[in-house]
Amino acid sequence: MPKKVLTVDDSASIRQMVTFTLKSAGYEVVEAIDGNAGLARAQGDGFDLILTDQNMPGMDGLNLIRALRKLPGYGATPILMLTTESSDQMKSLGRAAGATGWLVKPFDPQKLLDVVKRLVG
Amino acid sequence: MSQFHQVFFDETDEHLATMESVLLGVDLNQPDSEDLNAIFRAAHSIKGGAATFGFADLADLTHVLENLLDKVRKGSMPLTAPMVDACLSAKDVLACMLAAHRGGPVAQAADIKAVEHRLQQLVVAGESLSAPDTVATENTTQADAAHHGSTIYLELDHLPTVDYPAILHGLSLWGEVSVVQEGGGEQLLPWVLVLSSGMAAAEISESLAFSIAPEHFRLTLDQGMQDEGDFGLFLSSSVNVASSVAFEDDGFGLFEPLEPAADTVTLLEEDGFGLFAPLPDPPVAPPATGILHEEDGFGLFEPLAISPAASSPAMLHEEEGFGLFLPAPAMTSPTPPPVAPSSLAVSSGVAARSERAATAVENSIRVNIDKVDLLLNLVGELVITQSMLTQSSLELDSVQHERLLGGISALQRNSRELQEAVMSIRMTPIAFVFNRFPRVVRDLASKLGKQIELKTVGESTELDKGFIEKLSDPLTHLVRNSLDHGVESPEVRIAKGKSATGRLTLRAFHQGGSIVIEVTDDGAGLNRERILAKARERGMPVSDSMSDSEVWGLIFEAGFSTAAAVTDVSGRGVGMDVVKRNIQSMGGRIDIDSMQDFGTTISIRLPLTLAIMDGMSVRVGQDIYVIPLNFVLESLQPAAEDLKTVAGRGLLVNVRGQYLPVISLAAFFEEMTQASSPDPTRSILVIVEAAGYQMALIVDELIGQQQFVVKNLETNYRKVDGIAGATIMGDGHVALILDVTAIARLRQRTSPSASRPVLNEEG
Amino acid sequence: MAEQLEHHSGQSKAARELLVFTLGQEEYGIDILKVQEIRGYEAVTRIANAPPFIKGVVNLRGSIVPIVDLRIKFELGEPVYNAFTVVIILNVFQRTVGVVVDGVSDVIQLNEGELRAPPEFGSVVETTYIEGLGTQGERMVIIVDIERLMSSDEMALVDATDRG
Repeated sequence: MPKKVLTVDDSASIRQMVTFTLKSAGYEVVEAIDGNAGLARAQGDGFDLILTDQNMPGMDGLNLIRALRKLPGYGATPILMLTTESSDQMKSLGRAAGATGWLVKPFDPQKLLDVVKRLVG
Repeated sequence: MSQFHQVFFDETDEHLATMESVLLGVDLNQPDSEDLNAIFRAAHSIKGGAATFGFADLADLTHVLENLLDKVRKGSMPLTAPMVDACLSAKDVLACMLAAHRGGPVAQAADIKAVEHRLQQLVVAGESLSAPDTVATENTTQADAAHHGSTIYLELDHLPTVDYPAILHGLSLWGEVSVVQEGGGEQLLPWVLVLSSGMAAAEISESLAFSIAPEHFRLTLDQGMQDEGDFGLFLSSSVNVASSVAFEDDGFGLFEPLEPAADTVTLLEEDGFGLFAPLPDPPVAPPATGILHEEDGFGLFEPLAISPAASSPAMLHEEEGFGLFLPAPAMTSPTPPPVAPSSLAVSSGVAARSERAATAVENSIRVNIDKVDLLLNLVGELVITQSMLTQSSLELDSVQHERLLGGISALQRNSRELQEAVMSIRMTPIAFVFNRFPRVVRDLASKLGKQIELKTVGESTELDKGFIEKLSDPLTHLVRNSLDHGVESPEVRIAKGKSATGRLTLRAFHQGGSIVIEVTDDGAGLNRERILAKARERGMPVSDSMSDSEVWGLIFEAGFSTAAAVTDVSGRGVGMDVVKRNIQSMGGRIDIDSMQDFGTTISIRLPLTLAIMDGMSVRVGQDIYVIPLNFVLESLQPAAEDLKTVAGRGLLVNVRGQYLPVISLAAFFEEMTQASSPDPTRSILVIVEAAGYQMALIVDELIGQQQFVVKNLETNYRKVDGIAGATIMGDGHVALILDVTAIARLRQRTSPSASRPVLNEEG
Repeated sequence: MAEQLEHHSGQSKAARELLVFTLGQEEYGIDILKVQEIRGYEAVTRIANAPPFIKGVVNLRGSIVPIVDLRIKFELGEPVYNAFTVVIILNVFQRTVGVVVDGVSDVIQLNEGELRAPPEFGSVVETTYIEGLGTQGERMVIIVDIERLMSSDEMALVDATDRG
């Protein structure tokens, strides 16, 4: 069964790039345009990995992560923050919110693939 | 990667538009934090995409802009008018850069440097004025943790009843506490603390539970980090009050390869993952998918009937589009719970406007415009076929064929409804045209030293997408004209007893089968005497007995301008006639109403659809032609005494005191189309007006008036002078549509002396 | 010349399938793939200022299609329009156009052995548009590059500025 990935980002072009990259490698990908949508999708479907942008209207990345961790079945799912900076502050907030890790933007497709592979195989 | 560029460009367009509209609307005294965030996010998003897709110039400039905006939104600098100006300039430069990437001219390096410099200056100036950042950030390192036992990350929801200082104090007794993020504020952020302590995490957790309910905090035990710079993994485990609670089916949430469960496991190899024990199910309801606010609808437009299909005009290219279709309400619980603290709590139009992209996308799909056009074509065919059926059925006996006739009549209704529904897909709110005007008016008013208030009414009124682009230029010219020549300077206004601030209103509404767009100013109005004087000066035939609207109509004549001084804004006199021609080429008409010192209203009327037009079918000799109704003034059968042949001017007809040239289509279509009767009194004259010029066309017979589906002749053939297109009549035959404007212009060129309507009789 | 014959879309080895029609004294063959349908001659709407061989346009299931009378174009005497008049509807250079001919014969398959160099004379159609000569027994069919012919300036169907 292919691994299912949820990508949450308010930028359509980024989402498309992620979808294209991961799908080409055999993953199943679902897109969500912001935190609320992402949460809704996560509730409806099970995902093996969630990639979330930070700065989004409505519910931002950190809030999404917090909310996801409260969902049954998502206590341990890898959730990766896609972030534009890797400051200590960001890392602390991320860890405290329950993120599994982070990936700095901009990233190129190959890097994304490598990371996803490491996280879900 | 370049396959995503188009989407990125479109997205960036939207972000730039959002930035501009929010910047223009923000209240400098009491800036709404949602506004500030929206502007920041727009810049941030552009930067992210630009960097990902390799557009360094965009990324660099947006980075500087974002830096300024971030400081402003975090409160470390107040937002000032010069900042707004600088941001607007930055937006312009970014738009330039974007255009360059799309194939336009390259943005000027000097401009880019200038705006960057300006932004940076503002940051420096702002920082020196404001208080230092209040958020304390301290980090505990692994070394500290080792020294103090363990490092624990605490996240506490911000609740009104909880005594946070007390908690902080209590925690400090157990170890070193540092505050990563203070809770509260408008966004109701949670408190995030780092505690390095010798105490067991479980104990800390249980103690905390006395001060704050367990479902409102989370503890994460730091077990290291795999930091690879641009990528990293937290190695942690989550700690619960009741850590002995059964875990979920997926064990500890170990990822493949599976390892045996244990209380806490640290995987420090290549595939180190963060481990989280699932928390006990709190009764958390799904957050409200309340990006859609009932009262604001999309937050942009007045809650008039907006067909959902029209809310997102065919912008995107189509893809599977999953993720863009978000039947959010269906996905979550049937009764959305009260809004969770972290979601939107706004009702202002501006804030909702910044969410426009999200909401519009959620309720719409993006469709390639070719598909829409194809659909429209097919519907057009259906209308023609149905009309042929109707035609054929006319001869049938209504009693014998009652069912058939009933069916045909129902078919007629159905196709008309289908046609309207499909037409509506191309319908776009005029807000897309109106949206540029706040900026235009602001810049222009400041340039002219006038005070203007812009009001727009009926932004949600819809018109065919094809008109949106075509309307922009003429409307801009009219607005500029109003501001330049209509609205007076503040001093003059005050002297006249008016308010110093002039009012410009853009109004759009539907009337019958048309959309009407009005540009109204409360300025000086048109000066009848000046216009008449100017007309006489230019040798135009005018008389004092002309009605006001006829006089106003003169300003649409080519080369007409009564501006005392030609400003670089308008008034070069090439504008108004071009405006009128543009409007007419869209199948519309333009009228002026004005009153001295009171103001002027210019009304543009456009047909509601592009491909279907109202026309009058006429017979000329053996051929049938269609004349678009918007050119037709009237039709009449001339009396012999009204017809005069004037040397050098040809045949003229007297219509209520004005002599108009009589045109035989044979003049155009040699050897062919000629009215059967050489005697004009036995023919019908159709009075038309085009290109500022009135004339009478001779036809043999008026056949009828109806709606026609306009077909392009150039699809399979070529452009024919004098023919605007073709249509299929009810009997299946093709009829050609006359290009009245071309006929008028040709006539003007070939017999210029005959081109002016004559009022006085001449030898 | 042989190269030119072989040049045609991979059909040189296999048979070429042609629709054969008569015009004047000759039989002409055109690539069957360019033929959309065959119709009778129906009332045409005249177009002003068009050359005499362009009869006008017709409604073909909603499309406006120009009709060219090749008999007039190639001056083959007074054309007759009756129930037997044949119009071949072509799909060429992304357009749909109709041509009036004297009659349509059949569809033939020519293989390589049956292709010859084009005749020096005997055809009203200029050699530029002639691809070759097809022989089947006694029969001789002049193979015409109908797309090139219809898009040429002399046919006046395409605006010079339109030409891609």
